[in-house]
Amino acid sequence: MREGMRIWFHTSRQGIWILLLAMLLGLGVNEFRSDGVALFADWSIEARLAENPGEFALVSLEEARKLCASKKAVFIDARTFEAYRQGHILCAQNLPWETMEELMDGVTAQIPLEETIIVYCDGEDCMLSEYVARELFYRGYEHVKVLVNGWTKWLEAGLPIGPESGDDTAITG
Amino acid sequence: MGWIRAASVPARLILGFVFIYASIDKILHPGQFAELIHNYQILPDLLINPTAIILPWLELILGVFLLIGIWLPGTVFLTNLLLAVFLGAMVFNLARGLDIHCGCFSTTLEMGDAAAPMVWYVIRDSLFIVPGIFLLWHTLHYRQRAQGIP
Repeated sequence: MREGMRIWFHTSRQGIWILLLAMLLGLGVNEFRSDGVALFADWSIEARLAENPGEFALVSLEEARKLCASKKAVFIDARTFEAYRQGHILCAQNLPWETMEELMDGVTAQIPLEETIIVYCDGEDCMLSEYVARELFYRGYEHVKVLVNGWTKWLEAGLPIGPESGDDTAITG
Repeated sequence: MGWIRAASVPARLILGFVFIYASIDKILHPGQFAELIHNYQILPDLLINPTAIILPWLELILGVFLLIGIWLPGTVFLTNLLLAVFLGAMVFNLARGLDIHCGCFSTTLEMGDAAAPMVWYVIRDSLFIVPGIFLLWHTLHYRQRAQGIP
């Protein structure tokens, strides 16, 4: 029993020293490197937007509903092909984030640069729509907006969804 | 029991190299690593950046200590703790259908699409647990009894 306690005391002491060494090295190097990160950061999408102003804006569900109904914006679903096939915002086309590179030429050929684009995915912390929106901005689209947690919000509001029969609105390369 | 002693060397080397290899990219790109931690959606926002800053250095230190064989009781204990935390985080997110690459939940996530790489990561990390547990047993029990505390 005494030997066991001695072993665990010894192990814990070494573990604490190793943790302290890692903290010292990590915080020290981060302090002096040019690309270090802030010790504490706000990870909300609003804070990320404020860091990179102009790339894209957020859109409310109500505004998105009006834009979909009036067909005044192109809706892009950034989720997977499979998720899109099982259900999507009625006016949305599919541009899965993981195939974005291959399909982006198809997007620029189909959608004029001055068009308003609404990008969405699913979940408050889902970053797919943000990745796609940012890429669209750097491809020259200046009116890109993100509908945060778009699919869930749209479903919960009972707004029109697809697929409809003969629905073929995926973006192709 | 010479084989136990002999087997502990490759176990240390394998885990040591894995931990060093895993730490390098994270140390070089702390911002991207912070984003990955955020995508796991387990830690509160306040702890994301401190973890991204400190964890890679902890991995590097553990890797180096495993390779050169110093402070083994503490090193092996923390190595197992990290392996368990990594595996637990992945299994937790696999179970709740979250893709860690994008931090996105998908109620439609099924085996065969986005879940497939996650299953692979879980299997891979489970394999690392084997030498980890062996080293823990060897260092904390077998070795202490055979040689006394280093």
